[in-house]
Amino acid sequence: MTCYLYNISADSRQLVKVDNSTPYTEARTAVKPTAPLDIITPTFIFDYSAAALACNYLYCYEFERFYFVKNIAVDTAGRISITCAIDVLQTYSAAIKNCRATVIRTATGGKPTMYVDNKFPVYPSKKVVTSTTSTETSGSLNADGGYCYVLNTIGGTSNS
Amino acid sequence: MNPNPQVYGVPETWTYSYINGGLETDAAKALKIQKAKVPRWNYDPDNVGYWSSQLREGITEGKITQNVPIDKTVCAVGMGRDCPFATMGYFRRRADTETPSDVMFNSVASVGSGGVINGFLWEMRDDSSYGTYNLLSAGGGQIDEKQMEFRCWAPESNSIRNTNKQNGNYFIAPYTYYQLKTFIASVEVNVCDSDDVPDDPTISGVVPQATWRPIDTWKNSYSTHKITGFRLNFARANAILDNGGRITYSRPTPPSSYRYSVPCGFGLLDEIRFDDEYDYKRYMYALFNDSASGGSWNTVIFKPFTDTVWNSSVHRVAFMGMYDIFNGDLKYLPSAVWYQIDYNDDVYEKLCRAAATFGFIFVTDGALTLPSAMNTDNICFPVINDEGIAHGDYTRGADNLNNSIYNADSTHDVNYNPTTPKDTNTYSLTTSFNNVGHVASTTKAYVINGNGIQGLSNELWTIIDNLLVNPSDVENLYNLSLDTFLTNNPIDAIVSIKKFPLSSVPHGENLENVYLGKVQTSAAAYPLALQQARYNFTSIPIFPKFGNCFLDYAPYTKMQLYVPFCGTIDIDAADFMGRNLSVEMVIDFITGTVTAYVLANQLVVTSLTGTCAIDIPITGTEQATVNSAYESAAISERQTRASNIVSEFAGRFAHPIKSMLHPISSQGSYTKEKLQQAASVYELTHMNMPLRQIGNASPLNSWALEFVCRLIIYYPDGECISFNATNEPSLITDKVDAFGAVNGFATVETDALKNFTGYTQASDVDLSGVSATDTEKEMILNLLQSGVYL
Repeated sequence: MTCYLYNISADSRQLVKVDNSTPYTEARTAVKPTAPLDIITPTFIFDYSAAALACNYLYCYEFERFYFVKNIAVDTAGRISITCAIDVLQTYSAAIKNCRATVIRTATGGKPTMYVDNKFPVYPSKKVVTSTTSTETSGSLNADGGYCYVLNTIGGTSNS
Repeated sequence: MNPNPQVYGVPETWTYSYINGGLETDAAKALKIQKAKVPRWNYDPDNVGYWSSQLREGITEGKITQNVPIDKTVCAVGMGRDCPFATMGYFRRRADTETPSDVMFNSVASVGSGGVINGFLWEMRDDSSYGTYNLLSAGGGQIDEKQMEFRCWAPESNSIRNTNKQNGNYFIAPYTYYQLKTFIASVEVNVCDSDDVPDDPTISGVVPQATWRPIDTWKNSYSTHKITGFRLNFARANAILDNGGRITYSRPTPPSSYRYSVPCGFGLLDEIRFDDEYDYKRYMYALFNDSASGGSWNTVIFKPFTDTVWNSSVHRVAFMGMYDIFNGDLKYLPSAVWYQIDYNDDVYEKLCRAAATFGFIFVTDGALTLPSAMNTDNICFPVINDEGIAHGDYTRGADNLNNSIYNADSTHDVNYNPTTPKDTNTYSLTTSFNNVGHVASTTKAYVINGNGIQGLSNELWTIIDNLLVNPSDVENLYNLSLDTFLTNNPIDAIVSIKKFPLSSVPHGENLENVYLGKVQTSAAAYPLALQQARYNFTSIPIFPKFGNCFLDYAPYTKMQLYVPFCGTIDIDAADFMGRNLSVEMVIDFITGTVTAYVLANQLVVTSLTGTCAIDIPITGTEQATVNSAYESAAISERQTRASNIVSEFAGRFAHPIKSMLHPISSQGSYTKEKLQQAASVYELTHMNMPLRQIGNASPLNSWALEFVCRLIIYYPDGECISFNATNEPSLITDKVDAFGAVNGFATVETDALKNFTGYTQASDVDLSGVSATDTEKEMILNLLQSGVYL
């Protein structure tokens, strides 16, 4: 079995952590498993290598899968055993990108949307108030008008 | 609705009727009847079977399934299995029939085997002469089986006869477009004039005397008479609906050289049934008796066949679908039963249902020539199911309003759904205001200024004072009489004085003297021009401050609108976002009330009411009322003030005022007792005068606030929000970006994940296409639901 060892700093939730241009720390062959090996949480045994001790990410050529390095143990007989857990995001990143999903949070738009966002930092009670005005267009409103009284009387001739 | 192109070809191949032969007329166009284009009606070797081959292929190559409507969109008339045509046959009487047990049928023109096509509206033409229609009337005179096959409606491959090397189906042109309200049918029955009808009208020379009458006439006036036939008599409706939703009917009047410019056939539906037991085949035929000489044009006659030979002037068919009415069976079918049917309500209903299966609008009272509203009782609408088939149900009168046909114009209406009425509401984005004119009243309204009021008051006191001193002068000057002031108190001639918050109340052009009762005073005022006026306020455009996101709307952003004299109202930002908020204020100059309409662009969204006018005190009592919020003045004090005005006037006039104010007499002087008595009377007559503003907020209070509309906006605050000097907010870009990078923003979008970047959290994912193990897929889903960085 051939494995490629990496040292990466990407967040584990990152979909793509390594690509073809990412340099690997070491390529190891003749990996010897300790026991029956599963593809989800395998443990690989390598010949001792100081560089291997620094890796935190692994690609298994035969499994065609990427793994997080969970633990490295120095074993007897000049061996180290590397316990791994599968990274499904990196392994299936191309297929995942083509999947259709209902997304409920995304940074794509760059700003809040019309959907109420309970995570967005808004003070629960505080409000800041301002105002603007609208004026009567003809300028007729006046507290001290001239002919501004309406006298209603009995008598005379009614208004036509 | 789009007719099946596999059957009819694409719409580009359709045309209004056909050029030759009269169909390409204004009438046909008005009916909007379209059919597949056919280059020529006559023999055209290059185009033989051009469109009919599609139909033929549809049958022979399995594109069309028997007994299944091809396409409800082409079911122009909605006929289905329940239609009499579905089980109609053509019969000729056997010349050798001798016993009742013999089948009546001599021969039946064959249309071959197989199914028929549902829902076509066909036109058929004779193959014998170019340019003429010749349906079952057989104008060419050919009466043989081969020819009869041409008169079949079903484009059966086996029915094609190559007479003169012509394709029999050549002459069949299906109509693919049809206006639902184009034709109106009258349900008519052939009513015997008397009961003296021979039992066997097949006896030569004996024909029952009968008259075609509307079925309602049979029911109402001739129910004791038998009928010998049933038909649908058609008129072409103008299909023009007036504002009252009425259809007008008319019959086209084509030139004599033309045949009637209406389709002359029905599409037939349902499979052809075979009854091998009786060794005959029932087929479906159209029954248009289109006679150029007039005759019963566009008439479908269901009348038993009597002649031994086909007679072009008298059609006979067996109405197989109604054999139960005839109370016979197909094997036996004694002719006597055929010809006479007694009235009963069940028969009436069955005939109406039979009419409904054709899918046309029909009337039962024969009213085909008068405009009728679609909801009148004489009009019936067939009920068409979601397959476009009518099964005999129908609505009548007011129930038609709930029938989907009521609102549909044509089968080509893309929104037409037989079971879903069309939305006929008219939607608008504007509100209109009325200009209210003067409202007549028995009072007179003046527009006056403060000096005018003071002058009027002074003049009134002058009148009173002079009456005390020189009453005769006042009487002569003002022509005082018992009813001069129309009340016993001149003050009461003043109904109200209101001050409005306006530079000027709209008024007439010329000053005139103020009248109090019949007394013309010297005070001058303008007549009130309008009792109501509308004042507009400038628009306030409502803009989002947070990039039009959830923060711009309630409950995060809150708005209130203050309108002068009306108070404050909550405003929903969603109603006005991206629109102009404006106010239209309507002031009533008689009541002093105001209604303010709040508009979003030009649409009224809400309104407020208030009072803008201040009531000016007229008498001392009112003055006391206005001066103190709570009137606690002693009654005696009010009496004293009031009596100063009333007492001497009371003393000047005779009965009945005098009697009311007894014991006050015309002594010309007053004592305290008299004042008290007068005041008591005043109390009686005036205590119900409204004591304005006691305990209530005066409109004067609202005058203290500005005369502008003010929109008050309450914005949310938070770490990502900043404010300027006037408290207008905006988002802090850097902080928003940082938040989004870690948390993303709330949304609901369904798309491929490759179209998203950065932090992404999904509620559900379709992982088909990911060739991972089940365990791995579950891990992927969990990670996506908890959030990943794409």
